[in-house]
Amino acid sequence: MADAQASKLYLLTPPLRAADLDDFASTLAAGLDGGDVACVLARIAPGAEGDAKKIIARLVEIAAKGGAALLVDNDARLAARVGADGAHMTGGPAELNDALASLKPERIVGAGRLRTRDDAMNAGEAGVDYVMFGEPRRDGFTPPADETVERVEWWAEIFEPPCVGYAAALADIAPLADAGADFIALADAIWGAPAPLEALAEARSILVRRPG
Amino acid sequence: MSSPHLRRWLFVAALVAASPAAAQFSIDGIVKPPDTGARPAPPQTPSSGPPPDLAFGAYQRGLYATALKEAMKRLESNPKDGPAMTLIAEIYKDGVSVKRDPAEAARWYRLAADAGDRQATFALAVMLLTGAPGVEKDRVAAKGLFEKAAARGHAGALYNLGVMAIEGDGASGSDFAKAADLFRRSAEAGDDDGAYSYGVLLRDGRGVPLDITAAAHWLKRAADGGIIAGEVEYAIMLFNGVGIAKDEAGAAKLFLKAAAKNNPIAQNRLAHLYATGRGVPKDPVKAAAWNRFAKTAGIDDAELDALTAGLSAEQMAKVEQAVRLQAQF
Repeated sequence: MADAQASKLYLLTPPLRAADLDDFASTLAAGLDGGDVACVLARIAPGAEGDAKKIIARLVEIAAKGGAALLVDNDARLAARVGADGAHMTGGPAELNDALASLKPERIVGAGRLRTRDDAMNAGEAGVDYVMFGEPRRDGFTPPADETVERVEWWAEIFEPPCVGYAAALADIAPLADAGADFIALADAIWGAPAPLEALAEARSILVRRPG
Repeated sequence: MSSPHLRRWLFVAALVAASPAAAQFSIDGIVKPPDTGARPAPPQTPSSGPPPDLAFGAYQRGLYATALKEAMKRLESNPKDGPAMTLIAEIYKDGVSVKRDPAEAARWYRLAADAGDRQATFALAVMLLTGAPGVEKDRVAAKGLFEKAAARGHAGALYNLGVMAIEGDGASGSDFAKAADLFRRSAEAGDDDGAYSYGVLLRDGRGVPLDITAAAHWLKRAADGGIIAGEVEYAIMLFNGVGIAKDEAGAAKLFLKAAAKNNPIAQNRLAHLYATGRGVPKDPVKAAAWNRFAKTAGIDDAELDALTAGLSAEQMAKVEQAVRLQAQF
């Protein structure tokens, strides 16, 4: 489905520890300078949960300067406490409804790791700000791109709430955008690249090059 | 909302029993009974007295043990606290943080109902209607309680009384006029199942003078409320331009929604839309894939089968892929 409005980028940080913070903060700030990044999802490395507040507080500042929203991964309470823009919820319907009740309307609530179409539709009807398809599962498995494209296409065709399609590789960006994704989520395709900032610039140019 | 699934099931059962020849594409009897694994619905905002804030808040957050404790605490200061008793009943009914105990739930519902709690009156009526371990079925008592809750404007109670009017009571047959009146009041009180049922009766002119425009209005409400049968019926009206301006693309969207929720009629209609390119871009692969799902649910369609038979091997591979993608998510 050709979309009049171009997709925007949605960055998932690598799983962060306090020790990585300075390096990553400067990379992120430079990356946001290029524009077109609507949203950053802060992910904390396993074992670093104790530093989550400190890490996220720093990212909130950087995102605000870069004109992006900063979301907390699956922790609505923390999102409110550190003044983040919202939370990305992945723990199922009960936790999602909880987050909606406590964060809306001031903050953003997104839903990810949706296990069935039913879960996605229920999330949409419950009033989430977006649904995400195709992100890596908890065990690290990332769904193949054709699956994610199909889900995005299905969603965009019928439902109003925006949808985010996760691109595991830069090559997946164009098909997801063509399928109607409002946002393209990127993580390893950027942070796993030899030069993350160049990869991000490439992602941006793929979206710009699309016939719109 | 308490037990919406139960309420919808009742209506479908009633229509299967009472329905004359089904209208074309009608859903009568085809909508599957709901999954019984319905999520536990929190009690409605308490209908009387101040809300048990701490208890209710804890309940909504899934902190059931805390909710139970707080509700008990409230009863110490006010033994007539209906909402608190209703909350305790819900916890026993769903067996969250305590052992599931329908009899104990019914006891608390009754105490709350006696204290004038509308939601408890309704919930107790539902328990008596269906019966549960330790709670004997009692249709007459259930009806009395529904009437009590309905008199206080409970939309679900109005709806269930409408269903009961169609089911009839042993000797008496279906009273569609009474049902239509109850469904209308239920719909006006905000119940989507009531809107669906009233819309169907208006469309068929059963129990109420046929009014296709009003039917479209109420079926749209049901569709907007996510009632699958309402999505299908309203989609059919949109597609045919009956009671509402014709909108094939809008109909296709609704069929897509209902098809994703495994409604076989919607899957079959959608297959036709993809086969003919009406409301959606023509796509024989998608047509064949949706036909496969509808077929699995028991809808045979020779026209669509013929289309599938004419597909190339490459297209068939795409059908397989589409079916796989749809089935696993």
